[in-house]
Amino acid sequence: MNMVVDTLTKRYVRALYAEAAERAEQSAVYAQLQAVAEALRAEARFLDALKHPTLPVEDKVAMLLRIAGADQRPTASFKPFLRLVLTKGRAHVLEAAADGFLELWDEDRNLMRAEVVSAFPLSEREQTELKQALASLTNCSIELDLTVDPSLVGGMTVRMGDRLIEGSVRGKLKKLSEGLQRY
Amino acid sequence: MQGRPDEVSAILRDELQRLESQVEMVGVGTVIEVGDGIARVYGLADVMAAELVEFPGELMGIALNLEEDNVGCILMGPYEHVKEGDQVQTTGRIAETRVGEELFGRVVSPLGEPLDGKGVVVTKYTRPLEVKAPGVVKRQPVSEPLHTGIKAIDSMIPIGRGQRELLIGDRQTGKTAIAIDTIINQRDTGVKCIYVAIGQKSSSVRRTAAILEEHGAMEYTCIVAATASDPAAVQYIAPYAGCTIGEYLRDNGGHALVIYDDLTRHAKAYREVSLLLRRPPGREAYPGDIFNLHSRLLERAAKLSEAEGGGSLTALPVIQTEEGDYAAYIPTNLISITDGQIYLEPELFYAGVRPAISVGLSVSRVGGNAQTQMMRRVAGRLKLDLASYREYRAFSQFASDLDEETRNILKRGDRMTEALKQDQYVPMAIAEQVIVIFAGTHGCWDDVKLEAITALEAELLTFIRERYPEIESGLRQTQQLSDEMAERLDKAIEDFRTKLDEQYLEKEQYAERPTSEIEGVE
Repeated sequence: MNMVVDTLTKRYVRALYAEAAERAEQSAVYAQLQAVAEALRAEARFLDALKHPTLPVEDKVAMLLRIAGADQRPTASFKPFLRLVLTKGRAHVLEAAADGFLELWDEDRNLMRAEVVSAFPLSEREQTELKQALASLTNCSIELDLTVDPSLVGGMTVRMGDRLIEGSVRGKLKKLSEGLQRY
Repeated sequence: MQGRPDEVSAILRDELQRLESQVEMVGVGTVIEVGDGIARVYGLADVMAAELVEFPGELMGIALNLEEDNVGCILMGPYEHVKEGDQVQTTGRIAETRVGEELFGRVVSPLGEPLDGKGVVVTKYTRPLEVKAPGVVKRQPVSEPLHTGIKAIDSMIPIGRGQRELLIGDRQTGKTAIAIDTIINQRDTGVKCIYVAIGQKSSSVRRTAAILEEHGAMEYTCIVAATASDPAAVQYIAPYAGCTIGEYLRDNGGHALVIYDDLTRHAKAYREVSLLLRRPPGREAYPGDIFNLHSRLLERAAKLSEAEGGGSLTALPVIQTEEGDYAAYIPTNLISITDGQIYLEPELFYAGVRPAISVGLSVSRVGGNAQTQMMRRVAGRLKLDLASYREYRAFSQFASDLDEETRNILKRGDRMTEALKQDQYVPMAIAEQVIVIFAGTHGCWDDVKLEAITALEAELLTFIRERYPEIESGLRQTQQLSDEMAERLDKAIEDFRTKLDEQYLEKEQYAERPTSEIEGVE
């Protein structure tokens, strides 16, 4: 599951995305954000360093740009974004920024991510069929994220954002037992 | 529920067929924080306000706070197993409870689960907990009496069906006793009772159930219990559940009486929930909508118009005051919402005046219209007389020399107070009350020792029942006290006095000493 993107992060990311979309450099910016998020996740003290009041903002920006590989392939929107976030003392938004950015990007290109949990691995054909079925249901293009969980017994569950399609045998059995308990 | 084997297989087949239904799509969210009976959930984009949501382990919650980036839910049970990251599902149902005749005779939780060990409660219907109260057009003024069986209340503070009458007083002054007596008195009246216990000890709930059982009142009573060990969220919905059960009867043309015991604890439970949901605190840290919380609950008590079936829901909310402070926040709220209050005074209680009803502070704003003609006739002036008697009584503590008139007021008042005393669990039929109060106001006890009144009152009733049975049956049938009937009653009481005088030739046995000596202390 993605990280929870809080309101504050959303605001910064929305501004960044608008900038990136204008220059059509979303994928590059996303990759850079991801690199930063990964670094933050790997080393907990990194965030402390970014929040440190005595380090100059420009040093922090340079450090982050190097991590993101943006010193080699710079993007127009990323550097100002980092500078803004750090001057405002909001370094903690960086960790969830990549996820927030992806959400906006997906929305913009009408793409939905479906987390599919099935009892057995799905064949190529099944995957295409599922994709088509979900696409016609949502009017979006679909990207599948497949997991196998034998405890479902049979069938599958699909989660897209805030919606869950429950089609597993485990779920049905649970329903049945609840129904019978009423008597 | 017991079933025959073929019934069981039919049920099984039904259930299996239902399983064939399509896969369903539900809204989901993720728990980001849980604790103190509250969960914050991320996601749940299309959840409705007050919708039931399901947590892992069949734990239900109610979505109360719909905020920009999370949903605050109250949890309706033990939540130790809920973790961050757990999946939460919407159910598409607004918070609801079970309703129906099947609930009577049972002790249930606010969600309709059995607490009396008598097996699952199966009801045909469920209803949402929060509904809007019937509007002006659907109502009619309170017109039928709801007799409590307590002399002091039915004569001076009459309650009508559809009324909201507050029971207010310090702890241990007999608030619940009045409520229980009222339930016991509803036998054979067609009024079903719902007793909502909020934040009480489990042992108290058990005792209440046992008392009702003992007096044959449990069969038409449903106890909704959210005990002190239940989460605040469950205590918060308990009165709404009780109200919903009563409303079902009201809307089907029946009559119901619901007792909320007590709303002080309910307010505290709601304060807890609100603070945990981080709603801004106001006076005494209660949230801003504490008034609306109680007014929307009590507004659902109503007498419906004939077009709507003429059903009624009467509410007796209970409020506990601290040190007699009825001007505190929650008590004043409730006093202004309800159609009157019965104020119980500890001083009276300890002086042996039980029920300890303070005549001056108690009032019924609509019940007078619902009083029967006979009671109105005998008790019309009783309340004012007793209220002024109390004032004289207070003054007479300081005065040494009283004039004749004052002495008479005091004497009559002492005797009336004595005549209105009543034991617990012995509600009195309304016709008997009329006879007793008639006797009191017509000076039957004026020369009788105070301590003898209670016993003589019982004797008077037996005497009239034996010698003049037509009086009681006449009153019961017509509910009227005609001039002719009043004359007959007067004569019967005179007869009784003559018999008394003969019976106790030695008058000291019951007669009052000369007034020059000390007045009987109440």
